[in-house]
Amino acid sequence: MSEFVFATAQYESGDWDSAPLVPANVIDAVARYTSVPVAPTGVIVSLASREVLRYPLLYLTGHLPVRFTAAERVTLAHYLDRGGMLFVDDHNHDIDGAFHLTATEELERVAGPLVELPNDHRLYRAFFAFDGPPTTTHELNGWGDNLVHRHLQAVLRGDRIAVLYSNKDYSSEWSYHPQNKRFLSVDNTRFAVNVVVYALSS
Amino acid sequence: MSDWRRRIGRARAFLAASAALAAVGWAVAAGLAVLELTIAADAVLGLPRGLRVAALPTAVVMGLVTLAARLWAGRRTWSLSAVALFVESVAPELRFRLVTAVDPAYRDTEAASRMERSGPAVNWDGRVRRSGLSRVMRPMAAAALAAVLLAFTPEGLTRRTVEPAPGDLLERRSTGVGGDPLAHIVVTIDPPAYVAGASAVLEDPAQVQALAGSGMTISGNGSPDGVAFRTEASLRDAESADEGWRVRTTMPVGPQLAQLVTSGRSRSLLLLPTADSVPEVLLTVPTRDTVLGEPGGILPLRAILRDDHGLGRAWFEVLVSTGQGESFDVAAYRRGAVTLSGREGEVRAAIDLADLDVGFGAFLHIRAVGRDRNTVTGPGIGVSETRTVRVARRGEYDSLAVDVMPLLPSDSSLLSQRLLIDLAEALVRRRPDLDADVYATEAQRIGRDQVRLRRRVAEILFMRLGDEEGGEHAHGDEEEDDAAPMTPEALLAAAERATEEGMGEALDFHGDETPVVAVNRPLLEAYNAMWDAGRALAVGDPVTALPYMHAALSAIQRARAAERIYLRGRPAAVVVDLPQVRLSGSVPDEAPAGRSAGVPGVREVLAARVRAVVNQLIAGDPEVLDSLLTLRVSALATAPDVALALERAAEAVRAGGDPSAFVREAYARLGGSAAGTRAQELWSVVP
Repeated sequence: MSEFVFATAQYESGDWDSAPLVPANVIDAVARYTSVPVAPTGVIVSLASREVLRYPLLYLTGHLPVRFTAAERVTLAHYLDRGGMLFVDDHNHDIDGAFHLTATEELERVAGPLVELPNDHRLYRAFFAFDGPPTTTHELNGWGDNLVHRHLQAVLRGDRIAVLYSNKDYSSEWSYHPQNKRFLSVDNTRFAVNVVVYALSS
Repeated sequence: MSDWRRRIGRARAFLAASAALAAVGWAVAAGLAVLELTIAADAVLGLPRGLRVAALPTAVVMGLVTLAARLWAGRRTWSLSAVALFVESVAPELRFRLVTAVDPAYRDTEAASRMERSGPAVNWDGRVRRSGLSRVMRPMAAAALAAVLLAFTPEGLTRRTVEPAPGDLLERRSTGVGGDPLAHIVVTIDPPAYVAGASAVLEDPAQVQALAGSGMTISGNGSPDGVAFRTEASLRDAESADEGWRVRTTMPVGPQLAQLVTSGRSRSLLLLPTADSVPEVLLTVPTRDTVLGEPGGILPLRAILRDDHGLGRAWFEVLVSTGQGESFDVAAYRRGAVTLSGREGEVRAAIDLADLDVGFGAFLHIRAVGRDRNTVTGPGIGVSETRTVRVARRGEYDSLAVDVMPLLPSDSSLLSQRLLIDLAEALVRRRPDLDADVYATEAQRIGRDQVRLRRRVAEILFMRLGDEEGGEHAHGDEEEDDAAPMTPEALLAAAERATEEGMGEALDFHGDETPVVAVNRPLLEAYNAMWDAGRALAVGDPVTALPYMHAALSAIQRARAAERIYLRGRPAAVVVDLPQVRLSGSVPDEAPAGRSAGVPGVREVLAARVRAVVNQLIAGDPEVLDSLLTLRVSALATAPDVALALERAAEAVRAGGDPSAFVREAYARLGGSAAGTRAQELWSVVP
């Protein structure tokens, strides 16, 4: 069985590399809790490249307005049609932020309408059991949009999540060196394990 | 004109008229006969609509041909000689006097006089009239008989032939009466009101393709009792209508397999909705992204729109964002909203930047938005490409704003190398005035400076090659130590090898390489030349050293002028120590969440993917073959029996055959129960 490689999507516009430590942290979490074979480092792959088809899960984040190029749109649509899963996290944790407004528009244009993902969706039971998307510290400290986002959004293909969209700002929540997990009483990257396991098993 | 001539003229006219009338009668009879034969055949056999559509033109053609043939046959009635002969045949007492009189050869002879004299005595007019009428009677009777037959034919049968229309399949009342009410069905599709399109009628369709939200009326003959229309979500009974049954429904948004069911049987109907496309919106002004010098002025906007069924409204959206880092303020505006009609339209607007409170350094993201008139599944909203208009930062153009890169250490080398050249050239100029020992000592002093300079270049060079600073020493090169483990040439060769990887592809970095690798080659040349210059100076020969020193200076200048690439760069890669962390995680008792046992097994996942393939087959997805092959590959390791079934299914698809049985087999082998499931229903109609 080939190992899972965590891939970060690099797109032309915006700051795709705003959360550089998330990949290592997710990889650490997958290794820490599962026996899924996983590569020790992530890869960065251009969203316009057919290289994306090698990876079952793509992670995309940023703060700035997102405007996909034509090639990125075509490749992403193909990727989603072929069963790939795109995990998009708004690094602004802001419902009216530039990233949110532009990224959701682009995603809906490429993949279809984003709908509210029910909190009893299989994603939340894919490995750890959650009652919904875990809350982030940014939602609780009032620094963002002063909202706790009760649901994630998704573009569904049948009963499969093709695009998972989050306003929770997991990109900030998980962007720390994995060695620092020892200072946390509860590992806040466990939900990342669910995302990975879901992407691999759906 | 003589009397007999007027009479023969009247006879000719009468006979010609009767011949024409008879031709018309035969023509009508022939045309009606064609129609009646078609109606009879349809009543007995149920002719397809194509044949029935051809019946009326065929009848007309048959009538025209008959008319022409009969007129041709009666053309002799226009000949006076022929009419005279006919008159002679009905009035033999004329004894050919009339024929002779009308013959031009005898016009001035006695024959005409004889006719003048005896003609009035013979009454042929009545006999000619009776004979002519008798010739008209038969065709008229035939035409009348055909007309009567047609009049007494059941209206429905006549209409099916005379005015065949989609949906008249059900007018043959024999269908469904006392038999199968699902034997024939007719589906009438009424597009949504916003489309304002005409209805369409389908006879006995296996699938119905229509705009989502279209009204559908499914009709059939026979009793409505027990007839029902079933979809995945609903079940509705048929109602009585026009001596048959009828079900009204709406075209769903997604494809569905519907079934018409009676107590005895069922009939499948695949509902394939076509989507109302969202409007295509093309932002034509501004044509490209741009930068404005001042946060003011009027910005014209223009967009053209197109929709498949009709546009509703259109407007521009302007997103003004200011800020940087993680702090952004965003304001959204809507401008130039217009109501459109038709399938194509245009929207124009002009935005005053002052109204939008646009300041220096702001970004405007502009797009046009179009909405169609879809009131059923929409409205469909289309958006254009987004144009970005940036307002320059305050003072951006007042000075040259350049992010200054720290001076390369090689810049100081440049100054030193030039100084050394000056010193060496001065020494050469002074050579006639100096003793040989002094000359050599001065040259060696310059040589030592050259060595120090070479070391400095080496530090830069080897640091960029991934070595530690002072890499020349790290490779064992002691000053003036020719017995070092590596010769300068070997060292250079190693450095060359390390550098070649980056040459010619300065923008294509690998691993931890940095863009500055591309400037190393000229530094290597400088380093090499400094070695040679240093050797010559060490033996007191600055004349030999100077060309090498100039070469070193030139190389350093090239290194200095080399393209410098400023990239955001990649974050330092963090490599997770997998063996150390593997399965080291624990879930504290007080944690709100625990591990879930819900991870699906391999075969369960495969079964789900087989179900997805079934949906693709039903939808006619052309990529189903790819899916089958991919699924087969996935199953090879864990479920070879399933892989074999999938391979057969793929072969069936390739050959244009029916893969249902093989897909069912694969599903069953994965533990899926096909019998009595929704999947079974779906698979039963896989084409």
